[in-house]
Amino acid sequence: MDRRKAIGRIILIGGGGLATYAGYKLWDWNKTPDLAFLDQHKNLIAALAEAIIPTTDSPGAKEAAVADFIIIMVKDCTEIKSQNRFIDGLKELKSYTLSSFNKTYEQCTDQQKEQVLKYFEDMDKQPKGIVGKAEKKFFGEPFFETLKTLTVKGYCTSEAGATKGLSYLYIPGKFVGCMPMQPGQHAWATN
Amino acid sequence: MGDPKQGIHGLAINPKHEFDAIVVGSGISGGWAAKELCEKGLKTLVLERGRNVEHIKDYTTAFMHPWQFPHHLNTSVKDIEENPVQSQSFDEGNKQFYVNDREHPYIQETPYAWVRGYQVGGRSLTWGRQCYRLSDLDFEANMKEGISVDWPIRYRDVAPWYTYVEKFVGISGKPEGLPQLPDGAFLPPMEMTCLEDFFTKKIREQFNDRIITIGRVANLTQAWNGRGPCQYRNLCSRGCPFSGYFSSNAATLPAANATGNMTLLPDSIVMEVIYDEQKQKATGVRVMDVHTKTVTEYFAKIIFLNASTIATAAILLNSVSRSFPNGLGNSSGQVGHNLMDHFLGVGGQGIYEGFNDEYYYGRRPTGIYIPRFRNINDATRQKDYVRGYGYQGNGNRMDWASQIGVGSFGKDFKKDLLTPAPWSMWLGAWGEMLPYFENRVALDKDKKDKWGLPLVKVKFEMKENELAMRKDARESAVEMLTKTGFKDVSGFDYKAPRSTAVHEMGTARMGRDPKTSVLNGYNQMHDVKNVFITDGACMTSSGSQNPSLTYMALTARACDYAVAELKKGNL
Repeated sequence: MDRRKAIGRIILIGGGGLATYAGYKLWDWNKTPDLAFLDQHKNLIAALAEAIIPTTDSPGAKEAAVADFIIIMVKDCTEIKSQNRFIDGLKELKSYTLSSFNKTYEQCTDQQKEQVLKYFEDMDKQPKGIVGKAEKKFFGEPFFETLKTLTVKGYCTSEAGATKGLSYLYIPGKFVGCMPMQPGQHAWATN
Repeated sequence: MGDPKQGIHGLAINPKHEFDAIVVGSGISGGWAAKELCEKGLKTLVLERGRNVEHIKDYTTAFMHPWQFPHHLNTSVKDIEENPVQSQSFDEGNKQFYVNDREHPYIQETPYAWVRGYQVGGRSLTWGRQCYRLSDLDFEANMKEGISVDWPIRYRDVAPWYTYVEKFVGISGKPEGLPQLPDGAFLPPMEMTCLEDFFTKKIREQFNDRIITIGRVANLTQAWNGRGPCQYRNLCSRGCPFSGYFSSNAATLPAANATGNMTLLPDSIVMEVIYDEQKQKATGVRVMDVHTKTVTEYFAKIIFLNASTIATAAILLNSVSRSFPNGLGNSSGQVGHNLMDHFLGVGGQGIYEGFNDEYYYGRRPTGIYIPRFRNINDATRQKDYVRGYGYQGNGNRMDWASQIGVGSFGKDFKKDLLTPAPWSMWLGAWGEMLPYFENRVALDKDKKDKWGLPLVKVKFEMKENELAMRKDARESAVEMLTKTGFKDVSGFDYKAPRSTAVHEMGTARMGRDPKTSVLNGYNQMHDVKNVFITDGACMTSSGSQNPSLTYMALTARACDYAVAELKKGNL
């Protein structure tokens, strides 16, 4: 089932007469999430994070151990509906990859990985504005959004990401309000 | 309870539990009362309901990197469920300085965030450190508009005391010569960013009724009284191991302790003030040990209540005697009423296309400030509301978090993510709220906390004046940003969940008439002359300025008066 369309349908139906499918989905996303699934799929999560923030001349998500962060964040800092949508998303992504390329995501080439991720990115695109906000409130955060948000947060607040990807000042000792950007200056890691 | 008990500082408590003075609370105003009274030679007992927090030693998270926290400073679902109020303010780095909502419940008859820190130092550890003087625009407002009661003091009464406390605290800022926001004794100001500097100049070109100044903040731009300087880490709320900002723990309590006159007792809940019907004075306080629940009485000639606005009112309301069946010093019926705060959560933001090759270094622990420019004279008179608001703001390059929704993923996304993002300007209003009798705290008759003390219930709402001011604050922010060349300008107005500033005020207001106010012009209770209240409870109106500096000045002033009266034999 294309979830993008399903959600569109739920929204169109509106609050007055939730159809069976919408009711089912809401129930489904409020069930107790299978959090052990996350630990069992740490390699998959790590590969997905690395596809979002790959290794270049600076460390990627893998070196920054972003998968560990994603797992603990989904477990501890994520609402139940978003937890379920994240886990469901991983499951769908697994089967989509298998049926498309006959191998696991981790085994895919970089190009195939990108293709799969693009598919899920497009599927989870949120409507803008108030509809998107309402959608998130009722149905939780879509899989790709959680994945990308936590990957970026995990990377930018990791030691490797903050100190080698971004620029991290531990104890600045001074404040200079306005200065020319240094060559190759990266964004500050903390505010 | 005859056993001498050892205070954290100072001497063993004498068997009779007698002191010259008792200070209830060790936060920003209690710390000042402790310092002033001790320095004037009074043997002073400082009672704090929370645990002890020793300066530097107990700042356990101060040196931690983001990656050393389990959730990299994010708040967990469990934290939000257990602490629905406090979690709106804390993060993993400073939550040890906030109370647990389950352990410290209160009743919200209307939604009101009572953000608290029960520990030695109170909220002086986590405060926003913004320091602004009130002016006669504020002290005369109630009288001129016929609202509430008149302040019994004017700016000239407080001005020397502002200077006095500023010289000890160390406040960085820039003199601007504005009558509505008097200059203080400032340390050198912090710098503005390129965008803030640009915005400041443009506003001066476009508007003749307002200026922008750098935030006046209790962070030390140079070493001061053995503290600091600020290291520009912007991690103040974890406690500063460099003593770079003012807190009771860093400044006033050590000064009090140095006199040898202070006894500090943490974990001690003041249940009530003891009133002697014959002497018509307060004689002491009844205190419960947080852990053992043992009740002890302590006695003193004068008592300063600095428990914070709501808690101070609760102590008064719980101090019932034959003379004061409705709470100590409450013959006016005003105790607990006229609760004020500052509204926030309204303003505007915009993107600036430019300064692409400019950046900044370090993390400045303040922003810019736009002092109140509404209703300051006939030319700035507003049709639909009285009083005004100031904006706090920031002009920075947006951080990486703002880039999450931008672009796709992969190498190009990463490159953009790591590159400094465009500049943006954010303006948020801190607005004056009028005193309304029906905004109040009271004690619940039935529900009690785990120490058997009645729960506080709060009723608080913004009314027409505040809502009209919010509307203007949103529109003005958008107007300023639009007129000065910002793009993607948008206003915001979040009324929930936390639309107030943790600036509770007004529950034991000062006034000229004992029939309509609780305190006189020296923060002395009209009804009980040896009790002084110098926390936010004393405020007759709220102004729009962050209030802590005023509490400090009024505390020092009241201590000076109290000790003089004591020496004259009047107390």
